[in-house]
Amino acid sequence: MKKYELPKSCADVIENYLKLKAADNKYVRCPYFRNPKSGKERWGLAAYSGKGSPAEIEEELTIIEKLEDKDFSAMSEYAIREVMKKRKLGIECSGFIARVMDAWTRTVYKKPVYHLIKFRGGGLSWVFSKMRPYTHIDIETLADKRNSREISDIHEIMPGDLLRFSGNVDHAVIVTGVQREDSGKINFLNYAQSVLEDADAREGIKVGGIDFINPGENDLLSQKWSEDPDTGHSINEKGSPRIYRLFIFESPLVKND
Amino acid sequence: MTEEIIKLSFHFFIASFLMAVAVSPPLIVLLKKFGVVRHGERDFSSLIKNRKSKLGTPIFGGIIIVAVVSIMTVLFNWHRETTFVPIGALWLSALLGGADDLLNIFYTKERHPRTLGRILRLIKIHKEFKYRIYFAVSFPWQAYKRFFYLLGSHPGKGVQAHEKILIQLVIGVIIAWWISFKVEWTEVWLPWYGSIDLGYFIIPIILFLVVFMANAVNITDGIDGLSAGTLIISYSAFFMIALQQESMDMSLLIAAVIGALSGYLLFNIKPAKYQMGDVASLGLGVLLAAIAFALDRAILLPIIGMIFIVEICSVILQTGWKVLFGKRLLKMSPLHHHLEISGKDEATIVMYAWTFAAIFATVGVWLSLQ
Repeated sequence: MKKYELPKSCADVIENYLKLKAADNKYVRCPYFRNPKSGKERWGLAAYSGKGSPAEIEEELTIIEKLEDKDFSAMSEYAIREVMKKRKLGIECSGFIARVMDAWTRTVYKKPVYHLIKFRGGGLSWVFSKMRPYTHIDIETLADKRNSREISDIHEIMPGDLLRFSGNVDHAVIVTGVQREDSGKINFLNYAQSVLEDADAREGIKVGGIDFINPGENDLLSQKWSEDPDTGHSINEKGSPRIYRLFIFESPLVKND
Repeated sequence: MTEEIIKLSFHFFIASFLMAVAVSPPLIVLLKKFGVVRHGERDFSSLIKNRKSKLGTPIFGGIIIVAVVSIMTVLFNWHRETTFVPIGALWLSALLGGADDLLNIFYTKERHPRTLGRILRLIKIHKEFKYRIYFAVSFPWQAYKRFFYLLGSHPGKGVQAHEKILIQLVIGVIIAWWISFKVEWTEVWLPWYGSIDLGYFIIPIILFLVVFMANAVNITDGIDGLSAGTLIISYSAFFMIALQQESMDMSLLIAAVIGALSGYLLFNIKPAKYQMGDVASLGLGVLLAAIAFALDRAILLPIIGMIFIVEICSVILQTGWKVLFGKRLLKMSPLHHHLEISGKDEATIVMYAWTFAAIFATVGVWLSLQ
């Protein structure tokens, strides 16, 4: 049995989103926030656009604590997350994926991810994508034909692949680990995501697993999905995902093999 | 002539200084009594640990400077051709700044602009036709408002950024009218070259510099003694230029400002007993620009007022950086707060600012002689 995982730098980024430091002894799982298409947040700090790094979000958290005259060390994680939701501080799915991929490309290629992918649109969009690269990495960009290819066989999935759900809102999760039998068939897959589950309650960073209980079926929905924390929802409720692999991760994957 | 100007200026300075010193203690008591003090909400600088102690300090102290300069000028130095418009501009700015200071403390409602998308929807779907017309007609104004909001203006309870800029432009127009039409100074002096006649092209330059300096001084008024000390140095430089030009009216006006500022500074040195507030900071910036134009040395304003320029540029760059790159350039803007967060002591920052202001003011005076 072989186990494939994203590099430690990526795991660290995911861990940092799962445990944002709100105070000396207080850690918070990053809530979900999706940047609006227009408005102040879109043109403000990346942390308020749903695209901030863990460090940027933590910095804003410190500022919010002082602005609202609160003591996060004495508050519950739930209460701090509520403050973050009210302040529109969080991360959205593509922002999260971009930061995880960024950790990978900086490890493998010694370059940020936005230097390695192609942005959509020309003219002003191109200029803005150079100035605010993380704000302009969305699922459509990552799944663009110039950046990735679609995979049809679920047993080909490797860490770094995207599982894309096209519902009302375009959503994707990133595969973080794969456990493969000697025959090449996958028996377990790990993923991470920043997910919106409910317009009011919203959600945030979650990790999940897919137990391949029906290895003969080439459909992820027929496998067993589980997520942590258990919020009563799972991403497979959004339907069957399409699988994408970014070209920039093809060669590191070959090396891992 | 110069000797006489110096003598009279000294009298103006001493009288203004003594008035400011005498009125300050009762004013501080009054401001505290009526709750005209610094509040934490909307004061982002109170995020800095050492600045928590500033909450509760009376603001609006700058009213002393405006009052003393006005009294001295109206009673002893009132000339329609010279001091009339600069003092008028100071009063208008004081009204604007004073309204902002007081509204921020006492007004209870916050005003948030509608999004442009929402206004467009209202134009389409509002059930009453007259409101559709209203929203359509007011759309450019709403877009203008929204622009400032997107730049990071916090729609608080006081006079909002877009309103301030408009009123400052009106003040700028008055000064531009005075300079261009009343005294007909359409020339700009350049060191080593002399004067060039810009004609009416001088109007946009005046407008820009008046608005720019008003906000620059306003922004510099952030830590104890910073704006007052720097202003004294800048006004002193223009006093020397006025002396060199043997301009009695301007010399006396500047001497009154320096005297009032010095009296104010005695109570504003750390730990400040009161703070200037917009009531004077806006007006003193406008007055500095007006005097620079009156002395035909507007070109030296960015040098003599270098600290103010650096401070406002730090805010512009910080805003631009956030909008363009989604990051902060400084830990906090203006620059003096960045330095505070970076661990510099408040008094050290002020000392550095005064020193650099003095160096640049000296360079300005030297250039004026070329």
